[in-house]
Amino acid sequence: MTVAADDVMTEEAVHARTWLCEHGLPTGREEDWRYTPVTEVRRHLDALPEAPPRQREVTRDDIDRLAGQHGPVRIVHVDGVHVPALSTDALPTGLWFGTTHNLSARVRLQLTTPAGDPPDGFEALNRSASQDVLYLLVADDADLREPVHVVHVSTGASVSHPRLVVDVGVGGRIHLVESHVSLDGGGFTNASTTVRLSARSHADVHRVQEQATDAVHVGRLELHHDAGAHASVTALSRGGAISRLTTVALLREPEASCTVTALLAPGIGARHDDAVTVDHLASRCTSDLTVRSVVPERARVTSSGHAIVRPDTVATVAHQRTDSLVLHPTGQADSRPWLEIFADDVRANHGSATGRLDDDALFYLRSRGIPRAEARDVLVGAFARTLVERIDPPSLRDQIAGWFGPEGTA
Amino acid sequence: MTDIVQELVERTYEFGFHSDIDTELAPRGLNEDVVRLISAKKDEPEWLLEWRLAAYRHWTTLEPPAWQNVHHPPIDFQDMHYWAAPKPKGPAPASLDEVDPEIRATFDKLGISLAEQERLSGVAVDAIIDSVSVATTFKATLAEAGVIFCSFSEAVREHPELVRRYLGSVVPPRDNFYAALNSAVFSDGSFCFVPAGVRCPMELSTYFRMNAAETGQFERTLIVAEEGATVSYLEGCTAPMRDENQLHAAVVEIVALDDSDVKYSTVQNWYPGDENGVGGIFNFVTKRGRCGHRAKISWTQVETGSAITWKYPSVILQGDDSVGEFYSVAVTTGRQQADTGTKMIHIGKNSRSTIVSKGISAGRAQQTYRGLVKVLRSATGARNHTQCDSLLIGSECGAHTFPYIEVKNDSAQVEHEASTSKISDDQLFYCRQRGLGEEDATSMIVNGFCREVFDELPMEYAVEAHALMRLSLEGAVG
Amino acid sequence: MLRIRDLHASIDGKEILTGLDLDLPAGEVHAVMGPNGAGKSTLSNVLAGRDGYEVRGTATLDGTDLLALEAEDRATAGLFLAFQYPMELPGVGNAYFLRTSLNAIRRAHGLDEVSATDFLSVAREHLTALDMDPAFLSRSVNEGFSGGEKKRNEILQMSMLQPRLAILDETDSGLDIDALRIVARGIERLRGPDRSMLVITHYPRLLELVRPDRIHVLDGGRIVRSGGPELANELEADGYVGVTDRIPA
Ligand SMILES: Nc1ncnc2c1ncn2[C@@H]1O[C@H](COP(=O)(O)OP(=O)(O)OP(=O)(O)O)[C@@H](O)[C@H]1O
Ligand SMILES: [Mg+2]
Repeated sequence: MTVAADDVMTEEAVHARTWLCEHGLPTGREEDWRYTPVTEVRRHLDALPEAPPRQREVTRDDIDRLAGQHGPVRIVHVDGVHVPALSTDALPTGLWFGTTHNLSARVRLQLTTPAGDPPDGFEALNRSASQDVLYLLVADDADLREPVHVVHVSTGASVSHPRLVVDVGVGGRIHLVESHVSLDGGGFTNASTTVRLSARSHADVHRVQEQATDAVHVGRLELHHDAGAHASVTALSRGGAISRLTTVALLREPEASCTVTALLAPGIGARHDDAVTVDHLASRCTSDLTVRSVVPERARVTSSGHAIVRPDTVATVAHQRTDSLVLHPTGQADSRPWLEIFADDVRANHGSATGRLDDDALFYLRSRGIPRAEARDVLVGAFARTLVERIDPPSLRDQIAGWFGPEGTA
Repeated sequence: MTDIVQELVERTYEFGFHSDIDTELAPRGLNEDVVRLISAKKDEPEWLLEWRLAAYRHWTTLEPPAWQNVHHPPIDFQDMHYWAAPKPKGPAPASLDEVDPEIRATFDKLGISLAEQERLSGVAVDAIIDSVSVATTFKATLAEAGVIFCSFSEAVREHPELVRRYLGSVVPPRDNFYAALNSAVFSDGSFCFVPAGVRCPMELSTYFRMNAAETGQFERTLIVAEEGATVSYLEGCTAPMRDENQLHAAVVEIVALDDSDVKYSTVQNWYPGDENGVGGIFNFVTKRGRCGHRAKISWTQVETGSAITWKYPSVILQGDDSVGEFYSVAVTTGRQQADTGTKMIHIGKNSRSTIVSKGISAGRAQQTYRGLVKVLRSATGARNHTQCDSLLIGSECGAHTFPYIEVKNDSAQVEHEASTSKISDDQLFYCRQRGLGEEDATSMIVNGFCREVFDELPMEYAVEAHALMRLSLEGAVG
Repeated sequence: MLRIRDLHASIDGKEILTGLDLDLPAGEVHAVMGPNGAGKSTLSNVLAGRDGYEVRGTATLDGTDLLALEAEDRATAGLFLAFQYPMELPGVGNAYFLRTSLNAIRRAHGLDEVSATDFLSVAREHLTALDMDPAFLSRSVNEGFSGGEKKRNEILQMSMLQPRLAILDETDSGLDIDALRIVARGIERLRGPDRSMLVITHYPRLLELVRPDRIHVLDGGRIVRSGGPELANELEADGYVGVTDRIPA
């Protein structure tokens, strides 16, 4: 390969920028964005400056406090720029790490596959504006069970475009914990993560969004599956005045599978929009989507699931389940569980339920002397628990359980 | 199974005959003069002409909607006739016996001979051929109960104050492209008024049938149930075979005042086009009802026809404790496309809605369920349950489910369940082991799949629906 | 009556029946026993004409080549299979299903169809004889039935359809004591000089109630041993390992 890394990047960035000039950012009239307050998002974006590299000093303690400590390997990205001083030096065998600025020949090979058109304006913006892309490569058959923790920090009122690309080799395995946190409020994060799964590989991705309550977060998680690859995604979203997460799994080859679990717990008055698309492009692929949202006062949560089964595929299984718990009369929950099916050898279903806490259960707890507020917390914790219990590593499980009060894991 | 699919794709349209009745056509195209012509032909009052013209002017500012999951070449709205009426041979018939024998024969072929209907089934039939109501039966019995059931034109003449009060009150002329078009050029349709406290003494039935080539059909149906009234209304549709696509853009409005109960059942069997997708009806319909306190509107539809169907019978649950229901079976075969579903808008407290949708897609057909359940902040205690199942027959068809659920009240309970699968080989084998041929087995399983919806149909229609389903799947089943 | 020679069946390239021979004369009841996964249900399915198997060998019913017939034609020729796992048919009424089945078989034999009323009165008799609640008739086929109820429903169908050859695939599994007697009674009622039955079971208890003329042991896709009713006791005592030359895994 003679293509220089910078040229490749430039090519992708240039292409994205050209595309962006032509198509612009979403307006909210697009079906995919109808539930996102796009106008507000764009207002924030226009009002804020692009983040200067390492706008503020961030310490190790800050990271521990904001994102927790979830594994031996930690890689820190501050305002979209890699900070070696805060990151682990030693990597386990089978894991390779690099950034835009120190790409090795091995990575170049992976990157010369030209990226197609960006799927939407935010992704185009991320591709064209991200300054320091993080690359994680997992060697063939490498079995990395210990979590790799990637932390993206937004330091304050500026725009950053963190970008992470993970490539898992044939039969390889990675456990990734990706945290998005804020040091100070008011930031705008436009994040993008791509995980490429080679044949028979396995990725366990926990994506935690715990930014400031006045932050705006737009994120995209894209998974590309080769034959027999499996991804297990857990998206945990709490922060942000506005948060939009798009998850797209492309099951491109036979026997690929994915499970996507999302737990949405926005703060008071926040808007969270979670959109998951699973595209079954080959035969014998399976997917399972579970979303639970807890909707407090004046918050609005939208959960969209879209399963697509392409023509000429066989033996597809696609499940979706969405449950929304509305905690206050001013909370709103929308769901849009879609099935788009072009083949007959399919078992697909979706279920969705929206409601408030069960009055009988609440009464039962209160009749046992538990005060109303606490009883509520217990029940909300119970609603979230089925999902929380599956979180791994335990340190992260405890952290998320903490969202639902001390009873969260009771 | 491959043979089945093959035959299914090749099924022919049984109702494809064409009656030879002289038709009177308006010139091709649409402009204010055509609107005036239609209004003049029908001797309409000035206010209605103005109403039409306002709708027409608004329509000219609109673009045809493009969000549906259906594909067809653009429709040239200037290349169609907007008026066609059968020319009476001699003076108007004084009784049923004097109705044009050709028209009678048409009904006979459809299996709804008026005489038969009148004598045997006790169903009041308001038959429409290409827009003009030709015969209405049972007026006397209905009049006794105070029920008005007549053609829309007659209602405009005889009960202008009722028409004026309710027309456009549920589907405003500006509602959407096709509703605006319909409002401008609607030719005829049915009008039904059930006064307060009256239980309509019989099922009301209308058969629509398109006849002339290249005529769009734009019926307008208005049903008003006053406080405490009850009525069940049936609508059946067939259209002859044609190579060109015919446009059908009807509007149905239901006004259900407090404590009333309206049941609206449709069996739609318009010509679906041939196996290559040539011809067939474009069925773009706006159907909507509004419920007062404790009122109930129930839509039941069996949709087997049309090249393209686009309709979402909806209920605005405005009153407290109001009830909306939607029961639907849609069958698409060959190259049919259907994008259908419902909207339930919960405004009143404790309003409840139920949606049961069963879709069967075969051949190279594409079918979409599209539904909106919206609970507004005011709708404390609202409930919705949606069940939405699709059955696929053959590997070249598609079934899509696009629900939207929007809940703005925390006390609401909204549940949605959906499934998509093919007919189970195990079920087929079980039936065949008991001696049923593949055709019978498939038909039996499909009918079972639709049972919940068929159970909602009035008796006469349930039988017809079963037969229609068999016919539609003929070949699928043999 | 039923004659099977060198029957092989495979599915997805895996051979399950490996050259099976069996003779079931008219008027006799034979039991088939064998370890889990031996191929008993496969034998039933192959005889009843389920799609998806690659089949070699011969199987004739009264000289008719069964393997050449479609599933429904085997049924009208008099073959009835009581399924190990009866299917649920949502929305299809039990009575309607059974009447359609009965009439399909009658039609094939040039007989008149049975009217709905005649059917109901006959069905009621059978229900009473089998101690079943008439409400079963108005429910959807097997939908929401308990495991035992499904099995009883199979027996009801069998007794209404009066097959020449009935294959009962573990119809006794999951039955309570009373239901087991009912099933046995159903079998006894059907026993006759020109009917045969193949009863697949894991439990000697049923065989005590229905004395079979012969017992066959199916293992590895073949009949590995046949004997009189006493073979059941031997099996009970020594297990399949003792009775066949099977080498324990
Ligand atoms: N569709 C299939 N694909 C692959 N293997 C199959 C299939 N169907 C059956 N088998 C295998 O064939 C073997 C025989 O199965 P069968 O159901 O006939 O056993 P059985 O004797 O009825 O067992 P049981 O006593 O548990 O009912 C088993 O190993 C089973 O797993
Ligand atoms: Mg078995």
